[in-house]
Amino acid sequence: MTLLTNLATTPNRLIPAAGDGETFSLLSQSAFPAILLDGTLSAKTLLAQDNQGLLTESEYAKFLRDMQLRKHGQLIADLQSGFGSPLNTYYAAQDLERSGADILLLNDQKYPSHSTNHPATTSAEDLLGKARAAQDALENPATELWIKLEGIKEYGVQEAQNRITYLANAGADAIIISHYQSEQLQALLDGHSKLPLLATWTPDTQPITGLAGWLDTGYLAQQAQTARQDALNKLLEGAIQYAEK
Amino acid sequence: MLKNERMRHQFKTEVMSGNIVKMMVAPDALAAKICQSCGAEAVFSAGYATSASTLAMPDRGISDFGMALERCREIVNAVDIPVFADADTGYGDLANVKRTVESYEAIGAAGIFIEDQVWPKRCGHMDGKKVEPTEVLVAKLRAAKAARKHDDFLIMSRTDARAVYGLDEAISRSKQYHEAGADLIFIEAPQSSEELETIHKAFPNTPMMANMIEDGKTPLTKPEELQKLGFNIVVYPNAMTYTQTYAEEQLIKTLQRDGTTKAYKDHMITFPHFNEFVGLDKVNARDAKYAPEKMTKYMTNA
Repeated sequence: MTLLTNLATTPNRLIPAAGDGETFSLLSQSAFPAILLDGTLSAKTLLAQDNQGLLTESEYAKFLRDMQLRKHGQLIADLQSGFGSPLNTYYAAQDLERSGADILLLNDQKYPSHSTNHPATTSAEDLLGKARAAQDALENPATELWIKLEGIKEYGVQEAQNRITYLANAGADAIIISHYQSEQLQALLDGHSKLPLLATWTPDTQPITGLAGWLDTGYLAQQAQTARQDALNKLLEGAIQYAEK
Repeated sequence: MLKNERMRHQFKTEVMSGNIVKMMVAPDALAAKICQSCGAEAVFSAGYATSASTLAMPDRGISDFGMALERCREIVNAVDIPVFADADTGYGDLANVKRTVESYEAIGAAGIFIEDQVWPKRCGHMDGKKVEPTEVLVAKLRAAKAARKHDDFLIMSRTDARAVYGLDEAISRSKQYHEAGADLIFIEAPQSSEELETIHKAFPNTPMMANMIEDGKTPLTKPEELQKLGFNIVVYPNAMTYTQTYAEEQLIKTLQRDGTTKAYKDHMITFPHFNEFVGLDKVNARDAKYAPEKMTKYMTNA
């Protein structure tokens, strides 16, 4: 069963994101339909950098191969913005599928992709070239191509609807809407999208019906970071007390 | 059928056919592509060549699992013929063996061999080898068999006991390895044609591999003769590494002597021929296929 088929039976499910082995292992033992190995979270783990654009495809793919040995369900790989041109996207998609991806998540940012709330987006033509290249690169008919549209704040609902239609024409399997306002998301849902729609999720996200699912942006990693900071503070306090003694 | 499935199935079919599969060890992806273009049925990714090409060091257990796996993966991705892999000792204990098997299977190798040397190991034709007690590889082979997801991912046992305890011990061990789950048998470094024949008599129905190393312990024997002796796989582990090394050394000497590479050009492939070989035309065509002006056909709301 593909992930989209699975989500169709139980809509509104959350797909969690991981960027480190411990979180991935924890999630893989839980009852989620899939796990996203997120590029931004992976860059934090592998490079100690808060910028997915610094993480190259080969570095990410190596991590993906290690994680795919630990997976029990579907694995979503972060194709970012294709790691370059459509030609790069072709070989990146091929490599990520070979590295264990069940779903490839391509975004519509300009290359290099950035971890930001206001990313620069690429043209529809470039995005379509990348989507076609990724589709052509896939060997397994069950592997899905999902597209994350990150520019609705910039290009508006109408252009988002256009992109969804064009991407449906080009063979994409689903759309993720990111960096949106609730009204924009509702407008897209009201527009009867030609592809299943999902949206990114944070704990502050307002519930909305009609979506095929939600894609986490790193809730566990944020909670872990908060806990680590608290622990660090205690460690520092303890160290200071010890020094005073 | 996906490529990984196809390659595993193809290799098993070839090995079990009764014919002999001839495999060069490819030091890298380019070498593997050369093997394929010359009609090879399969190719081998092995430690001596990987250690030389990644570290410029001898096969003495310095290159590790990560290097070997990555090299094998590059080779698998570069060709459309089966790739068999040298997994040394499995790189540790039973947990390491499990990871080794899972990883090689996941990258699309057709199978692996695991050996009974003490780590850090040596090339099978080097002196000073030590082997573990038989039980160690028996347990590793059981773990390997349990870890594989597909029965056609072939697992070969390799023993280096011939050099340490003699041929009888090597045969005795290999029988136990076969009982533990090894699909294929490899007794490293027999020292004569008579020994090759003795090995076959001990395993009349089990596919076996022979290793042809220039200046090694085993006499260089033609594939037809090895097939008559009952071997199903013959591997040439060092020939491409030695050829590359020799050719590159001659090139550098020519350059140092003449100040140009002109006198060596007859030994080189040409610029257009090489670009054709590595598929430049295909890459350029792919690049053009996704040009912006060709995407407008999708830009309709109809």
